[in-house]
Amino acid sequence: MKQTDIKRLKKRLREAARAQRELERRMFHLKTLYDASREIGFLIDTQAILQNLLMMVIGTFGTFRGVILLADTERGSVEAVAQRGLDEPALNALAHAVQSGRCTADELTASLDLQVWIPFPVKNQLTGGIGLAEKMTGEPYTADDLELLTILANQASVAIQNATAHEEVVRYAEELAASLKRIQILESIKTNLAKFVPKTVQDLIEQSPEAPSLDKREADLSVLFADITGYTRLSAQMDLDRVNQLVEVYFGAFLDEILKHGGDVNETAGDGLMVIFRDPDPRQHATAAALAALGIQRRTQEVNATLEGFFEPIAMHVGVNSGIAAVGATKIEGTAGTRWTYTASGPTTNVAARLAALGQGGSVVISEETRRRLGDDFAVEDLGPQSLKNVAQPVRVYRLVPTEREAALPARRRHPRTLVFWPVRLWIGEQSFEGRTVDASLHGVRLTDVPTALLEVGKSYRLDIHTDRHGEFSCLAEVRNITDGSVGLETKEPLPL
Amino acid sequence: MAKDLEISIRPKADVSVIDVKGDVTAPTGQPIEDAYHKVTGAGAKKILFTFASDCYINSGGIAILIGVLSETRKKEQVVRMTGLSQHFQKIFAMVGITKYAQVFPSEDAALADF
Repeated sequence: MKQTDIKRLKKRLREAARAQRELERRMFHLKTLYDASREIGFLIDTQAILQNLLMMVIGTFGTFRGVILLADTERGSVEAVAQRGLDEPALNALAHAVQSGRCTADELTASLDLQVWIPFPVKNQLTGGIGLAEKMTGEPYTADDLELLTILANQASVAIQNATAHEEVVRYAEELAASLKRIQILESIKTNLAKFVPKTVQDLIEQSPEAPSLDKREADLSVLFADITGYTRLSAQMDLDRVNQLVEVYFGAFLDEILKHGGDVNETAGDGLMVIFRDPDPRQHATAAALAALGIQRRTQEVNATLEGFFEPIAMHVGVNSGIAAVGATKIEGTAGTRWTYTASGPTTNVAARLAALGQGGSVVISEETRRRLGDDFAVEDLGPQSLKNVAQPVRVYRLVPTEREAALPARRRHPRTLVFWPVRLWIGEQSFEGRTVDASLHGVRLTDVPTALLEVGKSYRLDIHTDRHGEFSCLAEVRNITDGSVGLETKEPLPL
Repeated sequence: MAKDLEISIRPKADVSVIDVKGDVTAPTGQPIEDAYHKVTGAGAKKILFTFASDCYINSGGIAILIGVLSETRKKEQVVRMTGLSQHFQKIFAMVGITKYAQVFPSEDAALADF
């Protein structure tokens, strides 16, 4: 082999070795790109993305020092979000540059002794920059190096934008959760307040939450008054808690009737209540009030039958009048403060109250005006003109006579109810709630203190009932009706009464 | 699938040997720094990193080692490496690590050179 051939061969070998090194370098860079997409692309923490990016470029290019800055052009602020290998003087120089606002690439590379500076966009007014010091090999950064660095920086930029979007989604989700929590609290407050606020006022507030129209206006309506005969005697016989439970049982039953006929309980005062019926059709609200009045009397008999042997039966006085009344807010000022009440006031209301007092227990007394509006739909007994307290002229009054169908209704109940106060565990799916019974029959039970809002009529739930005499009893029970604060359920198995 | 990084330290005469097994990346590399600080705290002046044959080191992991070398320079510690595959030997040379930590074909060879 000639000397020239050997030289040529050696040259080719050197070229091949160089090509081999270059190939390996590029493969290493490709691997870095792959790792970056795998390790940075899925991160959702901006700080972690930038820290990983810095480590990758330091490892790829082999340098002891590197830094990533984020600049907010709108606020004029610069922050070193990641750094590696910067010593005390370099960190001081960086802090000085940041504080003085001298953060141009040239100034930074000079003050930190960096050899390359690659800016990259982040989001809107936010830009980033990555700077690296000289290579450990002492070689200069090549055009290929800068190209790879730019690709990596842009990859990080996309990852940061994704992470920012994710952070925003998380923040929105947290805000949404907080809003939902506030709504739940407001709903809870609303539900509890609704027990004390007339339905009419609730509707007015819902229609116009900022400024509900509570001004007094004249309106045609029917007013029903009902109170318990013998309430004072009952109170004297029992402790207050039992009296309250009893009133709850009766008034709970009355409420069913009142709401069924569209009445609005306006006032409750111990043993009595005032209900307003409104409708564009004056005959309609009078009819609704009459039906509710008869319903109250019927339910009284039912509850009396249930409680027979436990308590003395009670009787309700009910009076109904129809006509024009001033409906709206009434301000009651006292020395202790001011209270607003939403009610119907005027002669129509006064007469209704007097009619209730006029009747025998168990009867419904209506005015002539109400009678006129009812027409022939109801059987009535003419009680003639009656003098009512604080009413100038005698008023002709009538007693509503329950129809045969109405009179027969109490007999429909198959099993008598017993007043029982048993602890109960109600299961809704996997969750259980503690409550207590109000009353029970052979195949029925009424519960209170359970989350009625979570129950559905017609659906069955498991009950663990702790009975007085027979201990723990579990059964399936179907919801028949839900009233304010209590739920009636029918059990498949007979209850151990 | 990524392999967990396992680090152990053992003394060999006046050399602190740090054994590295598993994947060395930026997020997992902290134990290497911890091991270095531990031996340095014990007064180590000669440190040998031995890499297991199945060790995988990516650019982030190389940055961890560069950070350690940066410290050893300041503290005038001598660092050697062994157990690296041909591939990683080339890469370490490419990024300049071998300028600051010589690579040996075996542990004995590395120990003999301190």
